[in-house]
Amino acid sequence: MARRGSERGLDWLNFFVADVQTGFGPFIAVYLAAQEWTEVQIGLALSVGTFAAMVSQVPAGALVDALPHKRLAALAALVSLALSALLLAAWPATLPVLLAEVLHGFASCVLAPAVAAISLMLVGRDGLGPRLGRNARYRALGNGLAAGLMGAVGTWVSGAAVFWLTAALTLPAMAALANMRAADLAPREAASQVAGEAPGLSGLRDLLRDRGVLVFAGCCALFALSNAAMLPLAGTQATARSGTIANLVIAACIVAPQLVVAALSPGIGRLAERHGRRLVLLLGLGALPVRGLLLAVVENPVGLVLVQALDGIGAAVFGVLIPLLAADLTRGTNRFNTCMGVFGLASGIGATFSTTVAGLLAAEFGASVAFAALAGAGLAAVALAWLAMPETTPFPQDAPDRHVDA
Amino acid sequence: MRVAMPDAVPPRRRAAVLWLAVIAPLPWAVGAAAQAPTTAPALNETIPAGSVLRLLGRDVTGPKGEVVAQVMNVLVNAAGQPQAAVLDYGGFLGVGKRRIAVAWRALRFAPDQQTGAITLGFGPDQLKAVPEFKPDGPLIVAAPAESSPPDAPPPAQD
Repeated sequence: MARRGSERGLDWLNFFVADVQTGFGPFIAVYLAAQEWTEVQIGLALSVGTFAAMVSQVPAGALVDALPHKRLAALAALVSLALSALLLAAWPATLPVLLAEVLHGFASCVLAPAVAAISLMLVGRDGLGPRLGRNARYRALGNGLAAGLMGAVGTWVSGAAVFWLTAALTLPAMAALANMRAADLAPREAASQVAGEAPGLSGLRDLLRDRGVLVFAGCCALFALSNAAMLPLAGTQATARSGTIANLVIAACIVAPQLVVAALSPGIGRLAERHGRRLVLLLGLGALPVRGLLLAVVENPVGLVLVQALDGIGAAVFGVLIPLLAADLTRGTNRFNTCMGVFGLASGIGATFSTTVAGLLAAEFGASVAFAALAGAGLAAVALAWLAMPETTPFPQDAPDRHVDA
Repeated sequence: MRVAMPDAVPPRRRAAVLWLAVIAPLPWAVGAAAQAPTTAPALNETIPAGSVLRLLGRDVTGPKGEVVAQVMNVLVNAAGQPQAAVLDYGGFLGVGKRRIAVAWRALRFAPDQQTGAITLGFGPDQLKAVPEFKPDGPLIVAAPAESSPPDAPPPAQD
């Protein structure tokens, strides 16, 4: 089947995009410290990056909605990411680094919805769940492998080498993009433009009035609030408690969830198709309070890694559900990417609060209290989803109805 | 008839008053000059390269030669002597770093070396009981036991 080539292309696109994004993680702070940046300067640069990413979420989504050629948007984003990595590698002075952070924030906010939109155009709404599950699988594989590779490069080559490698990895991503046949995308590419309703602000207002969008955005925020600080805090615990094998434990804590995501994601996509989105959402959110409480009490390094594997369940669920629910909730409109931007913004806000609050609690009362608080946020997320989330699986015969209350 | 001018000061007394006016403020001026900073321009003093090293952000190696931390800050007392260094210890890819303070005497410096210029005398197992560095709280540093020989890895204490 000719479409298989494009599907493979999309797989590799997800893989290499995840590789590129791994390079921009917490390692930047270590790199800047080695470049003799002071704490305050590093904090400022990272905050600028976070702020740029949050502010760009919805506008970038609206931009991708407005562009007819989603692959072009993805290409532009990849070029920007490469440029950002090159700036960091070659010129770690204040202004270039700030520019690199802003560029990275904006480009990421364009790339993620663009890849989801390309997936939607490739497979249509039937079978979107399993396709998104495949995307999540390849992203997880990319993440895990890149984390190992970049850790090795950072240790044995140099800090800047990580960013050269990140820039180099955008090239296979662009190749994967080019490998996708335009013919496979074209039929739905045209349809998405025809369906376009009021773009811009009025479209956004309509989006925000939809109960499904609001409740799921709340779930995204609470999920991020609970989830984001768990790995860094667990990592700090591992460093304090595991002595010589600490780095190995942390590496395992990063890789184990990725393996779980790679294994589970397509299954979760199929589950969402057959048994509904609500069930999958509750499963994903339910893992959070369990994980938080376990992290508060488990001290053994092997136990820590096993508990971190639970992270994979939530990550797999949200990796599939964010684009899937955005597609469900924006059927018949041209606001898919804006909706993804809204969900991305909610997640970003939750994540920022998570690290701040968890840091304060851990400093004042210890890590156990911080984990318990994160578990509480997870519980709140479960409650919200249980009580307020509508089922959004489209019925095959109901074209105009967007969702039905469960 | 000549009238004696009532406000004319005899010449000898005038000279004495003038001398006093010049000499009297001198001790005060010298004293003030000794306390106030001089306005002389700063000298350009050359420190031989390879005899000093920049600290902030530099890698710290552990007893086995692997990089374990980066120097984040230095704490000095009123006499300007460093008492402790604040390190970002451990972590992989930036995840799991712990900010701890170590006593200055636990560090060894080799300014002439490119790698391994700063060495910490503790291994990771010895630092398990050290709490995180809190800028506003009581300062707890990891210190070597006094009786151990300088080259053996000393146990960490609070």
